[in-house]
Amino acid sequence: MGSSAEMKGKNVTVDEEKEMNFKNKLTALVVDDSKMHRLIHKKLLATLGVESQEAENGKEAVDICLSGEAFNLILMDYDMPVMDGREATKLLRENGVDTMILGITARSREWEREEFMGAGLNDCQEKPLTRAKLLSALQEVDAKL
Amino acid sequence: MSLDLLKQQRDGLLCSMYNEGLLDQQFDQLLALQDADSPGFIEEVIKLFCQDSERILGELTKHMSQPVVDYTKIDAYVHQLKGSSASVGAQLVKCACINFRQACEENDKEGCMLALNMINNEYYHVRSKFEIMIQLEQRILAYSPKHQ
Repeated sequence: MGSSAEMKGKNVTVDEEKEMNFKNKLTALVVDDSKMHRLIHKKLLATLGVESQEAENGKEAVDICLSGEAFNLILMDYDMPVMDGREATKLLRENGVDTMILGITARSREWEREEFMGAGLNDCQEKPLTRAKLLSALQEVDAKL
Repeated sequence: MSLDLLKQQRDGLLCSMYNEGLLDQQFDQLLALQDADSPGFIEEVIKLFCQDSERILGELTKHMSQPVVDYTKIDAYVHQLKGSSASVGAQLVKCACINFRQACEENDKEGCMLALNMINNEYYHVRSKFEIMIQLEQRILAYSPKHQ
């Protein structure tokens, strides 16, 4: 596969290029009711060479995943209408979806993050999602494939 | 005005926004995402942030003016705005939201009113700077291809 640096069309250092060269072609699902956050997270993923789809709430995410679409990573917001991230994560795990799910939330209180983690997340990060955190999650996913 | 001068003005504006604490390093991260494939990325992010923020501020004003304040609802809106402002790098707006949530936890109506005023002030301050930034960006974008 081509290097992510070439796909980005940007000048990057040799070290940066190394860390972006995944062994596998990765895909992600961005779940957030905020169009702004979906835009930012999809762009972050794109610059790392990861194709992504989006869902506006937990129910959409569950429907997409249970329809047979498979992803290597799910970025899950907490607070969403229709179905929130906690409920969506629980439902996905109950239905055997073992994709890495990274919770991305503005909730900063420890008990809130623990509650979210308890639904079955692999990890949880307070917004804003950083490139470093996303890269780390993708590298973990890539290494396990 | 020359392209170089426009870029100088834009960079100067950005510098002042960082120095004033209006923006934090998260905005840097967003700038780094803008590339030739998506030259309007920053403008779109800012536009969406402003749309979301003004909708939320409208809801907060409406709910705070109720005879009985629903602090759970208020907290949910402030929480949303905190998330948006953190993701766009609008540092002072984010800090004002943190203060607001504190007042909500204490069911402190007066504290919430003060916090809402602060959020409004910080939001409209950063918005006015963002508007200038977008105008400069648009002029830079329009200028560059013509003079290649």
